[in-house]
Amino acid sequence: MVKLYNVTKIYDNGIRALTDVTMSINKGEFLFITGPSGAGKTTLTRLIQREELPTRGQVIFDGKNIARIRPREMALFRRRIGMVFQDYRLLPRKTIFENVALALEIAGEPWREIKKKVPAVLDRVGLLSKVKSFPGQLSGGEQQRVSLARALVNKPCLVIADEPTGNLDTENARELIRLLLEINSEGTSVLMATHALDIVNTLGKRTVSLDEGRLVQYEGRGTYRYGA
Amino acid sequence: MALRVLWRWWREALLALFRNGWLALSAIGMVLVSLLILGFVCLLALNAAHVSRIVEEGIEVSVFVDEELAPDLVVQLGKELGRIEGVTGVTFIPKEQALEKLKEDLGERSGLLTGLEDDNPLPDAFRLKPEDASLAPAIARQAEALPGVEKVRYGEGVVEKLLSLTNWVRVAAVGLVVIFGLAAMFLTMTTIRLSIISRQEEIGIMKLLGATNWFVRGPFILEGIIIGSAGAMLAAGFLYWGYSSLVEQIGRATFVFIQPVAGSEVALPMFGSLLACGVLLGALASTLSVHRFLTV
Ligand SMILES: Nc1ncnc2c1ncn2[C@@H]1O[C@H](COP(=O)(O)OP(=O)(O)O)[C@@H](O)[C@H]1O
Ligand SMILES: [Mg+2]
Repeated sequence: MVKLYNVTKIYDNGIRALTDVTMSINKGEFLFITGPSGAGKTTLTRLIQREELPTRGQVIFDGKNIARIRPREMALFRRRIGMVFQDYRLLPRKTIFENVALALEIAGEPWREIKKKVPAVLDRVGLLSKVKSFPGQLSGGEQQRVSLARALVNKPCLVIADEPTGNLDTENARELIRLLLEINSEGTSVLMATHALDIVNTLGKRTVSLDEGRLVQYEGRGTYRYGA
Repeated sequence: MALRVLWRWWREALLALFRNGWLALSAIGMVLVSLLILGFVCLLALNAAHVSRIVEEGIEVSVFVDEELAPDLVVQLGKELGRIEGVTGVTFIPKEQALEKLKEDLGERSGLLTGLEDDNPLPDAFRLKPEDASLAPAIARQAEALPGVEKVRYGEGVVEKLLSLTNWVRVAAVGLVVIFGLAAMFLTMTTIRLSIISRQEEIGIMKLLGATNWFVRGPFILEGIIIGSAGAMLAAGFLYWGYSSLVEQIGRATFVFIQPVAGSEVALPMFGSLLACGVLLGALASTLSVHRFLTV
């Protein structure tokens, strides 16, 4: 579904975030990307969503080089990916309901569908009681779950979650993982970036490890340890 | 375009205005102040042009007829004067009427003229109305050349000075309107741009979620239009109120010879043009400001 060929990313300020990364995400798969912070996990997710372009190499999405996507097709391309941002990226002046509804409005859903789907997905992440709150009134973990709800509500074919458990306690983290597994079992590919090794190790899913922007382990299955 | 899209634009625009209450109010205030100043300058310019026109309309060419000329030839002369290019009206003033007028003008001292009725020394005259005040000298020259014309007067010297003054007033008025128009444009655009820059992150997020440019742009443009037209309507209201009471004051004063343009006469054009200014400026400012943040 997604393939990266020899991808190198050097930011404008000269920082080398990824070096010669080649990897793939298969259809219907649950894939972990691990690595210490600063390893380049977030950069990788940005490249797949085309928030950034690779300095060298190619990112192929469903057989198409995404660097070649024309501006007019960009919107449609991005709607196929549900993104849970590490920094949430919620609109501060919109309520939780409106933030989630935004993804559906962007997809052109009629209002009566939106009124059904938004409460349903918020219920799924356990935030139904917060529909009328604003992001600033929520904890980090709650905002993370709103970001997840927004990513899921459109039923995208690929969900990318960047450190989605970073601000959650063990209980909520487990609940969130359960949710991601659930949507994965419904056929959605999931790419989860995390540095929480305990989760990676207990689930036994395919894992790609990054260190200082380089692939250090490929095709491992939950056996990764730092420094190994 | 689907009705649903328009409906969403309106909802988003009104919601944003409401939630950014103070920012929206200050933007409306800014538009109000700049259009108020612009409108004031326009009214000033309008009246300057109005007064200039009235002054110029007062300019006439007087043609005095040779006393010896036979009455039927006088009629003939009148027709010929009417054929001169640039003459829009010819009025015959017989010498009796001229004397009456002179008596009136002298008032109490009209006794000086008693006894002149039988031996009127004043000539018959024609008064020519020029199409444009600047044509007066040329008309005078052509009239002078006609047979049976004794002499021609149009206020030589004074007319030329007056014309250069009214022309200068008109140029100055247009210049002021242009300068203040640009200032109002700059102020309005800057205000609206600032309110959009504070939301550039939201624009980026929407684009990352797969929003099209029009999805993002639409509500911002409507928001700009609402701010622009609200400011414009308030400005027009204040100006109308201020101007009509000023005109009323002037109307009561006895020493004013030329009345300003009536308030009722400026109301509609002023309201219309200010509103058009507000709507255009608001839409333009939003479109340009959002544009910078759409390339995510
Ligand atoms: N927008 C950016 N501009 C410049 N440097 C960046 C930017 N984003 C990340 N970096 C740098 O790239 C490297 C990788 O960062 P990131 O991809 O966020 O790693 P991770 O998500 O694994 O913590 C870091 O050294 C970081 O400082
Ligand atoms: Mg990161």
